[in-house]
Amino acid sequence: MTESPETHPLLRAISNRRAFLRAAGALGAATALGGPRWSPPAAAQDGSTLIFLASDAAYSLDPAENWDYGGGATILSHVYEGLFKFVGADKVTLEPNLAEEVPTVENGGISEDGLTYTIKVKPNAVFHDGTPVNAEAVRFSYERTRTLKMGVDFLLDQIDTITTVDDLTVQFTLKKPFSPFLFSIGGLWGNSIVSPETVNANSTGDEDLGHEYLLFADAGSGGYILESYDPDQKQAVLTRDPNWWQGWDDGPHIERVVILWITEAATIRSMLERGDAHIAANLTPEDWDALSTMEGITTVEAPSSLQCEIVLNNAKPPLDNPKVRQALSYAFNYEQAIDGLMGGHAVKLDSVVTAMSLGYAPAATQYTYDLDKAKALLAEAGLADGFTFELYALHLFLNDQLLLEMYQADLAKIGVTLDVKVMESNAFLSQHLNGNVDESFMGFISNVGPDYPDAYEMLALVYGENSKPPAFCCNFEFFTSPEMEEILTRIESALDPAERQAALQEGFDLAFAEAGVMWLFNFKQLLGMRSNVQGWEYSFLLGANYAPFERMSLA
Amino acid sequence: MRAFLIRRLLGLVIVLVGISLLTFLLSHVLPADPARTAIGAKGGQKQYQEMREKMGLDRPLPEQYVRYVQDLLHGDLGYSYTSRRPVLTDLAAYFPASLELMLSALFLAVIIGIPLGVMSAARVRGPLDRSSGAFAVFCTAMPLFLTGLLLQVIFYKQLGWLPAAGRIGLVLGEPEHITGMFTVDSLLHGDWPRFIDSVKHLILPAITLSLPAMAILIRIVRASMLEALGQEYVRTARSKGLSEQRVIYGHALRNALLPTVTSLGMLVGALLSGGFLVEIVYTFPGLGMYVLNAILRAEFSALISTTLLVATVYMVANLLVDMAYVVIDPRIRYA
Repeated sequence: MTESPETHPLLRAISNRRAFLRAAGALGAATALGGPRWSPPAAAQDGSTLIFLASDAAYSLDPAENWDYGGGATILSHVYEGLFKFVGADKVTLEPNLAEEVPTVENGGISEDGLTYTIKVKPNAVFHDGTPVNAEAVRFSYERTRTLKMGVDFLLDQIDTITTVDDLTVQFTLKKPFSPFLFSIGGLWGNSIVSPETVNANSTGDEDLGHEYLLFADAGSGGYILESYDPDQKQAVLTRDPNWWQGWDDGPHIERVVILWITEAATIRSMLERGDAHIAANLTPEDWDALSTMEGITTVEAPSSLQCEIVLNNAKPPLDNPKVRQALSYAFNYEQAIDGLMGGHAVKLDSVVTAMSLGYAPAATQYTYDLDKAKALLAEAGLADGFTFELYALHLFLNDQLLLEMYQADLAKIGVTLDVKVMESNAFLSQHLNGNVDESFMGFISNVGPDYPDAYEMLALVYGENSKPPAFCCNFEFFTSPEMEEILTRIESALDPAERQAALQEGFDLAFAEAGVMWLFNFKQLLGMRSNVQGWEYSFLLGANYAPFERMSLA
Repeated sequence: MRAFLIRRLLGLVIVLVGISLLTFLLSHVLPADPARTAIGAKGGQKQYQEMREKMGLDRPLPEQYVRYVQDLLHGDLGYSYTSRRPVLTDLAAYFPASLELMLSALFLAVIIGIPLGVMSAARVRGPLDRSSGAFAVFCTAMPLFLTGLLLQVIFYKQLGWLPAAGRIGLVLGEPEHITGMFTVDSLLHGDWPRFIDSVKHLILPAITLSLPAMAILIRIVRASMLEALGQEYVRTARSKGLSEQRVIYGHALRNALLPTVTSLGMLVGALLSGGFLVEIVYTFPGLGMYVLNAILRAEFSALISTTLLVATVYMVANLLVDMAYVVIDPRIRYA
């Protein structure tokens, strides 16, 4: 505060009684008459400002660290661009973004041995700071993420070296053939290209690499510029970059996006009803049902990439017996869970991945609610009289405890006693993931989703030896299978799509036959938006917290 | 008076040490793991161990506490891995909002609760007394979150008069910080649009928070006034021919104020912590939202520091109340 007390308008007003009374009168009148309207309605009515109610909080706005939907899908996906992007709501496909084309063996982009990927960058791309997006910027961005090691760098583990061939050509050399490589650098996380100039100008050293700066600022080339991000006030503002290198059509366009993180469900619903918000990324089932009947509001139910699973500890008897795990899979009433507890807002999983994922195919073995089959399998396992075990609800999503309690009642019918326990998720994971099987738990209900929509990732993450505790997420069930390891190696090295798909199918079949994990359903996301929102499309990978502002407008 | 103040301040320090020890122990026996939260579920075991060492969680509990207190004495309240900044900076950002809400609610409770209590006592069992009694019961019985939702439905959703969330409108943005309280800061800058907007954002949360406090004040003032009005000095005053207004406000109220002021001191703590729930209902970015996130992410430093801050405010408020006794009742002397 640099203004001296003498110059304070209030103090000036108080020193002059007439001025003070005039000010107070004006204030009273303004308050009584309603004063200026609350700004969201005013902004909502200007026809070019879109108010977006995000659900997931933004953890970090630095692309080298971001790994969430609230900051990533809602903000980063518009401010930054990657070499590639996934498009599509029902079935995703990989398309070039900053890259000229998707490299293949045929076009010479991928070497015959599958180790070298040569990617050309579009010549006209520029960052918001005016500097060109070139091969060096791509190399710099990936090296920055690998150097900072803030978690998301694990997606780049397959990369050995990154070199620039010329100003617009960058070459990735992998440690070993890895067929999902392009998919792994096609997602949002870990793949945003940042401006070296802006980063270097705002870096405080080799350990920072502009990190502190990028938590609140922008070094991207996307259609929108980060105008402000205020975590204290739970809001962020994006403004359209009229000079975006990809260009704009004649419009109209969304000039400004105001992103709000509102916690109270009733407030979210009211804001949407009154038109003070245009899109609400996450509605409760009750609010979604109510808003579905309202004029002026469009509700959408979209499949998410999040999958619900019951993790069974394959290393602990009697769950180490596949027949027991199969019996438990037959004892779950999928239909009742989906139609009842989930209110129909879920889809039964018939594979390790959802139907929207690349490489999806249903597994050969399918589990349905069949208590007779479950009993027979238990008898074959020598447990005709049943057994007792416990599962944990970690309150990772709504109704997880209720789902286990519903399951408990069904298991009792086949003589199995399920003890449902509740525990704080981080404390649970700390103990379960410490690598000591003896200290691990029998199982828990959870949700898991891919970082990029290729079936390989879920297979490797959930069933791979390298993903077992304590090494990594998400082989929480201690699944051990040399056969699966061999399948995963074949998928990684398969450059022929048919050969790759065949290996994936073997992986799905083995996963379901062994029933290491009980796959229940994938969640649907419930969104609401005002009917004047034009051009909205759902993104399977980025979910409800993403909306394609670049192609949207307000009628 | 000086000896009294020194004694009280020493007591404040002892209580704060006790609270810090208690909250420290409580937070560390909770089945939560801040290191796991900080690195995220996908962090490997190596990262996890490194984070435990970085946070000092690998050391014995007494050593952790001594280190925490040492840091505290140096003004280091710890680091928040959620906001990625020192807890002190977080508190400086969020506390003014909670303080502003608490003071507004206290202001409303006082200017409405005390007159209603006095008027109820002046006409016992009259229509006003019965209405204020019913109002007090209603205010006490209504849970804060329900009152908040009801007011939102009426004044935001139906009437559209007042905003339902936040501290200030998006277009206007925050006023330049002096105190961190938007109403005060905008007023000091003579920025009327921001002042009006921040007042409008404050009205519903402040009313919601003030109602239970108002109810308590109504009942306490009424009871104290009835007791005072039955005293001989009131009879003497009346027999001297003083007007009823003079008797009530000049004689009885002054004596009835002591228990009222005592309850005000208690209310400060209740309003500050009760405000946390109101803040969540109204997405009012104060300590409530901060504490909620701290609990969810097992951020011990943030939790302990917030508890210490609330305890300090509560104790300072009660110290001020004790000092106010001297002003209200000249018979009171502190040795």
